[in-house]
Amino acid sequence: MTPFAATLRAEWSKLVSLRSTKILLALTVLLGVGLTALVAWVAGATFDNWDAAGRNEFEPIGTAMIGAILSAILLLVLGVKAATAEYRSGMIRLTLTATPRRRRVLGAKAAVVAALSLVAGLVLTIGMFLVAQAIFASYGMPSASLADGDALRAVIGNGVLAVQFPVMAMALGIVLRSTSGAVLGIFAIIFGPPFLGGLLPAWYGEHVVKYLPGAASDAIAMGHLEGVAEGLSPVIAALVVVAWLAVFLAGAWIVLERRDA
Amino acid sequence: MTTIEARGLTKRFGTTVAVEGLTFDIRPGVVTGFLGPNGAGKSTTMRMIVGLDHPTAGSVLLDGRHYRELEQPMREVGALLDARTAGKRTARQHLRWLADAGGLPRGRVGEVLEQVGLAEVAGRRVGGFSLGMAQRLGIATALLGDPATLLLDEPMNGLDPEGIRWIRTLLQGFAAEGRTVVVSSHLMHEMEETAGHVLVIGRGRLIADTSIADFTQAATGSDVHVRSPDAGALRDVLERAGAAVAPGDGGALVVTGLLAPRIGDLAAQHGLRVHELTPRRASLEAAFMELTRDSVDYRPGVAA
Repeated sequence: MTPFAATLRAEWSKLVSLRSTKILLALTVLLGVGLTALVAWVAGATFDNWDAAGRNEFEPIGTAMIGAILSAILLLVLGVKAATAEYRSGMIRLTLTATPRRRRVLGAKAAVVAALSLVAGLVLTIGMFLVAQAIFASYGMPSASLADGDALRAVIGNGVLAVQFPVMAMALGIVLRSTSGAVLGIFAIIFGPPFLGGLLPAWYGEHVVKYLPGAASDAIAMGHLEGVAEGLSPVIAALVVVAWLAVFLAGAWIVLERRDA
Repeated sequence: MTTIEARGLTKRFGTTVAVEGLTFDIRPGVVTGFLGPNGAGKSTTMRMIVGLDHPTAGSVLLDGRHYRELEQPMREVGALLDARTAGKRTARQHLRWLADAGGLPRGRVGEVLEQVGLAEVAGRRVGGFSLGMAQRLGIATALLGDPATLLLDEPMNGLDPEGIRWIRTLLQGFAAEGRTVVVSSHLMHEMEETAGHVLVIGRGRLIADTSIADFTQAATGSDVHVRSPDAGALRDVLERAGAAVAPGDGGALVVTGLLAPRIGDLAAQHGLRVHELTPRRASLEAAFMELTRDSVDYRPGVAA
């Protein structure tokens, strides 16, 4: 076994043996699909009362992804805990004694968080999509099929990009070492700048917001859908997402290397 | 066969000096006791040995290499730094991920659990372990890689006498195999029968680096406590015989340089009465306290 594979295996068995990991993964899927189902059901039940403009604007693919808002928060916590649980218990000292090459530990943690988020993300987006379309169809509303290229891009895109925030959250957890601090911090990073957009000059809204991590991943997964604000081109957006991940991981690496454990 | 070499090893936290200019070699084949009062810098030093803390100045190397450069650290150094292991993992799960991390065969997990006497509680959560069980688990983690060097911080803390005897035998066995064994303690008596060599530190500085035999000899200067109604005359007689006599408690004489039988004989020859004649041997514990007295940060009854 290569040294990195050994570290990966250890990080994997640590993260999956945490009870909070199993609970968060289950809730990610259940609450996400549940929220989508609720919104779809409410839309279906009231659809006949919508005005013509509203019915015309209804877009079944993007609407199906609504539950991801809730799930994203849960996966963030999972990412944070992958880092901070060890600081809380003091186990980080054992981890860094067993694997003194700290970059290797950080890389393995990122890979494990990414793998779990990827699987949870794909199960979630496929689940949300299928449940929502079934409900839309049962109410005779417009619905979409996975065979449809636009739908596939949204489902796969959102599923794969579910990896982004948990890995950033893990990196921030390494830097801050506190679960609540890192959760608050990543919330501030995700929701703060778009919120500030309303207060700052229009230039900020036009030229800065689209480079923020949330807007960039939306441009990849949702940019092609009707009624979604135009953002970066998918290729540029993908580079922006990778750049954000790189910045967070590099920051965590520098701090982890230099700090006493 | 690993030698641990510290050269000018220094660690400051802000303005607080934890360890200052430590220079020593720890050699294989003998149990080295790392002694000092609480807060003397023992744990900080051990954390620097395994690369957890970065020295402010100086270095500590294992056969010329930094711990962080070791390819298979768990096979080279087994460390117990903090036995308190919180967590919901079972003892077996805990050792398994460590075995994975160290690239060690998982078969080692069962072996070390057996070796430290935790095989029967392997399926219990480590968070619920008593201090003694946590210590044994910590020792199991250190033994996992069958390492060339053992580095144990206060391993006897919380162990019962049977446990202390067990760990003594274990450590001495390891040293006899030619491995390097370092054990820290703030209690001299724990080291008396365990260590062959001692490093004593106080307030972050090295106070002694010597074999336990030399330490004992230097430390246990013996004297004789004498009570006599004829103290004045006896004092003259003893001093003429070459003894040093100092006043003790309640008019007693504290005599050094003569053994008790000789003092008794001299008193009899001169017809002097003796009511008490007590040879006293300073304990290692007392010697250790004496040695580190000036380096204890906080002492009871002393206003800061």
